[in-house]
Amino acid sequence: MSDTQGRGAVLSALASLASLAAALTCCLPLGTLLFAAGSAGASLFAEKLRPWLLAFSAAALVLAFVQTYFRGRCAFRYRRVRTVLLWFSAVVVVGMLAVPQVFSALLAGRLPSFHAASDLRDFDERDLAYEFDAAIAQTRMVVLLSPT
Amino acid sequence: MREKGAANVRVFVVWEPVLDTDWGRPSPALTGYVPDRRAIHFWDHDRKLSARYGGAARLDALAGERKVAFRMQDVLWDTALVYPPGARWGSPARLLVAPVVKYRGELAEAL
Repeated sequence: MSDTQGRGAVLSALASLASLAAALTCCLPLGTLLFAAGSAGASLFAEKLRPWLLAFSAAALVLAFVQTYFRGRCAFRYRRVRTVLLWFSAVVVVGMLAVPQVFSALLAGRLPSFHAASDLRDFDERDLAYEFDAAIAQTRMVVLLSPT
Repeated sequence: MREKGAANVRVFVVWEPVLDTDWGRPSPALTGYVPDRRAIHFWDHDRKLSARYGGAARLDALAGERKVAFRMQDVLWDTALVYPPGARWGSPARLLVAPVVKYRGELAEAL
C-alpha cells in the first residue's frame, strides 16, 4: 500500500504485459513463465486483482511446464536457462499459494516467523472487551491485520 | 513497538482473513511477527471485530482523527486504532490509521 509497493505493482504489471508479448512470439515458455512470476508478484499488491492473478499465474505455469517438457518449441540452447527459470517460477508461485505468510514476510524484507511469541486466541469480543477495560489506565492499540 | 519499548501500552492484534491467500487457521507462529510482550493476539475467522466496528463504511465514526491511505471495500483491515487511557471498550478511538506501515511514525507518536 505504500508508494514503493504501488510502484512495484505497476512494474510487475508491466513485466507481465511484456512477458505476454514475449509469449506470443517464439520464446513462448520463457514468456509464459515470466508472466506467471509477474502475475504472482503483482498479486501481492493488488487486492482486487489477486485472485485472478494467482489463478493466471497457476495457469501460465502449467502452460510453461507443458511447453518445456512435452512440446519443446524453442531452440535447445535456451533450454537450460528456461528450465531454471521455470522451476524458479514454480517455487515462487506454489510457495505463494501454499505458504503465503512465509513469502509475504520475505518480500517485506523480514525473516519468516516459525516460533510463536504468545497464544493465538480465537476471537471473542467479550474477551477483548475485558482485556481492553482491564488496561484502562494504559494507552491501548487495536490492530486489524491480514496474515498475508 | 520496538521504538517505544518503555511505553505504557497494551496492544490487541486481531488477525483476520481478508485476502484469498488467507486460507485456513494460521499457525501460532504468526504471533512471532509482533513478539512484544504487551501484545495479545486473536484470530478472528469470521471478521467479527470488523463487523462490530461497522466495517469500512463507518470509519468516520470510529476515531477523532483518521488517516486512511487506501480504499477498503467492506472489511476493516490493515488498520490501527489508538485509545487513550480512560477510554472504555466501545468508545471512539483517538486515532485511526490505515495502512499501518505507512503511518508507523504517527502511531509511535500517539503511543
